[in-house]
Amino acid sequence: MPSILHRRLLPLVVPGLILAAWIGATSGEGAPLQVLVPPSAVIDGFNELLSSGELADHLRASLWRLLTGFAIGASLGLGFGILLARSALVAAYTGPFFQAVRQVPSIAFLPMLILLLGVDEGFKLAIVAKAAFFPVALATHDGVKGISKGWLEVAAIYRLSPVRVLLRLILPATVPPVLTGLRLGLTRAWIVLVAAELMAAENGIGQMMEMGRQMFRIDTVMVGVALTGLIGFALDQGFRLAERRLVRWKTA
Amino acid sequence: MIDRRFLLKAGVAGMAAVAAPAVITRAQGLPKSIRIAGGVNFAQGQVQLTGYAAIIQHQGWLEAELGRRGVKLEPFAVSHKATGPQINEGFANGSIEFASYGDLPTIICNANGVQTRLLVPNGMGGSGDTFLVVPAGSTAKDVADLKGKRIAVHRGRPWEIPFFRLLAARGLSPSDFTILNIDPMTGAAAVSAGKVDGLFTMTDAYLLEEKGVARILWSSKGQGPEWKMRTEMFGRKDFIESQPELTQLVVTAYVKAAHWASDPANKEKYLDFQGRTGTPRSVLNRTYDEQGVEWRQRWAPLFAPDIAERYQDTVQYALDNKLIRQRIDASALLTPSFTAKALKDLGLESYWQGAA
Repeated sequence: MPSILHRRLLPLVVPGLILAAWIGATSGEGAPLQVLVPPSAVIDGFNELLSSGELADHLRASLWRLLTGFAIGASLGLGFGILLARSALVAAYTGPFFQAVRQVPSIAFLPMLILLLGVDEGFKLAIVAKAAFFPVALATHDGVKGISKGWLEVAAIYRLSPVRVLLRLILPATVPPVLTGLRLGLTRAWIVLVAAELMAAENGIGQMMEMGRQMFRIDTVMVGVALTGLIGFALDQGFRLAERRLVRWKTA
Repeated sequence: MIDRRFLLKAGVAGMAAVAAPAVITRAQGLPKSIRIAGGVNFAQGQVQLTGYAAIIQHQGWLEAELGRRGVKLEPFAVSHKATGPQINEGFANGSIEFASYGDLPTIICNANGVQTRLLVPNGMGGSGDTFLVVPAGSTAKDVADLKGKRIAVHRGRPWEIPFFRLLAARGLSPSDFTILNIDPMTGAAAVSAGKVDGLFTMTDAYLLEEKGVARILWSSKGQGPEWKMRTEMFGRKDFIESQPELTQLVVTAYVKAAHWASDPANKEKYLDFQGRTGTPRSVLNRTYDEQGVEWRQRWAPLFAPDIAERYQDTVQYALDNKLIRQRIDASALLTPSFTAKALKDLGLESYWQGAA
């Protein structure tokens, strides 16, 4: 039986090994520093970006885009998911279209969005919103569909108003699946945002990486890669924590 | 336990293999092939040779000479989207030996420790012009009218230097604009749609103007060489040192190609090569229409007296704009001996003005 400490340490084994292999491959004579920069160079690069304030600017720009775009996409997804599940008319008109558009990777919309919205904030917010919209809408739809018919019948017998049905029944009953949808939407939005910034932006973490490539600063690229991964991981874990707290009643 | 230990070992071995440095072969003998980037583009889903690469293929001399030595000539295709970075990455991991490309990416490459040498200065026939274009409907008359607006320019590319020079000449600074770092294709789409207020680019500006989607606001045409971008033929230092004979063959082939192109009788044929990527003839005619400089002289593969200074300026520019961190000695890049030998061997020592 592995102890708790043991279990906590296990996830660090693989990153630790990769780090060790990385250090091994980049130390010693003849290591091609230009192909694989040593971890120390990445840390130096990180400190340089941090002390110049450049990193903070990029992160601020990216996180603002993420949160704004996500707020738009997630609220639209929430609303649309409920409508799709509750209204046969909406489902008939938009169901198949929704399912088809959902299959197209967000990145594929980039050239079109740039033409329509330009290279400013508009297209980044749109692509982030699009990335967040679909998982949230889908999860909400499935969550609402999953509400037991019996509960809705009881609500109908008591002649509850549609607003009360929404607030007292639909919303609480759909919290767990919707939270999962939000979590998926947020992490997906993050991935898409970084990709969009790689393509066209004046700042942001993706742009920092693209500029790093153009200037042959592999250390900057790797700082960007590491931060993108860490931020995505933190967003996912943060949401999982919130999920566990909000649906405590389920296991109780 | 055994299983876990085995897994760990296998994992470490696997990761070490993945992370292992690319081994650069330095065999006593000759390499299997020589890979040259530049003038090799992906267009219409195929690899298209243009410029020197197309002439060298047309002449067939280099391929035959290498073939006699059992060495293959391999064109290395890069995309216009990221020519500089792709070539720098190719030099860094040893997947190319030679490349024709710009001065700024070269300085970035060398300042980051990947050593290359300038072997043949490219005349390019005068296609090194740079342009500022605005959307077709724009009312701007001068770059100063774009103050506070968005200008797209792909950073780290050779036309970045004339762009910043233009701003400085008008008493403007980059911070007077929103400078967007976008590749040329995305930039062209953005300026066509009026989503940026300006685009600084190379001769693809003529294509945009011809399509009616953009207007050229400023161009280096007819102006001094400091307004044009510089491109040359570079080689990987370790390859040049270990294979001087093969290097000489490649350099001689470039000088032969320059000689062929500089003959006005071959101009039409050359423009045919340049049209392979789909560029209309009318655009090519405008590109190569340069008053003042004789066609033959435009192809001179000569180390002009000011070339060292020009490269020092590029280093200074890159340092000033924090594109590179450490100063490098640009004159160390210049390696004129191979071109001098080629000119001598080909009997072209007095063919171009200014040849030593």
